[in-house]
Amino acid sequence: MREALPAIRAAGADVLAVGTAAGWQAAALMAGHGEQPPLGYQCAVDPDHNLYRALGLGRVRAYEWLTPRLWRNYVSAFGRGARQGRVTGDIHQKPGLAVIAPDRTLRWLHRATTVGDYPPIASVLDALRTRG
Amino acid sequence: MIQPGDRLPPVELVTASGAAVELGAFLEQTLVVVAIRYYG
Repeated sequence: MREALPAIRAAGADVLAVGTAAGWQAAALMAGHGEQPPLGYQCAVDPDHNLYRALGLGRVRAYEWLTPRLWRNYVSAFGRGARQGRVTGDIHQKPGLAVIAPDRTLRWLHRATTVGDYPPIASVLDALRTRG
Repeated sequence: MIQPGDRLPPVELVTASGAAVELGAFLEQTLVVVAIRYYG
């Protein structure tokens, strides 16, 4: 997402990351740490899962931890340089990505079908450019 | 279940510093909201 930020801002939008926990990790990411530069966008936390419920994002069921697709996503993320930090929060929460207008209208939504299921950034940019 | 075109209800979040904040406080412009599982 960091790499896509200039294109997202050029499309008149900004980014907010929301995690189930933890505030100290969100603060570290925003500030930058070690060799990691600051994220460049805001992070919040949702310990009560309010946003996840509002967007209808699902939960990872027990059998889904055994599916090849989930582990392919992990390997793919590792190949892109992502490294697992300290796990906090809710590992069973499925992620999602939403485009929300200032009047709170949900313009576009991707509900993940499993862990690591994020849409291509081109789809997000299309949503920003064509549904404004 | 909410669908594109619907309006989100008020959603209470928490800032990185621990303060309660409503999603609308971030909505000065269109937002790409990435709901991840956790930071780490």
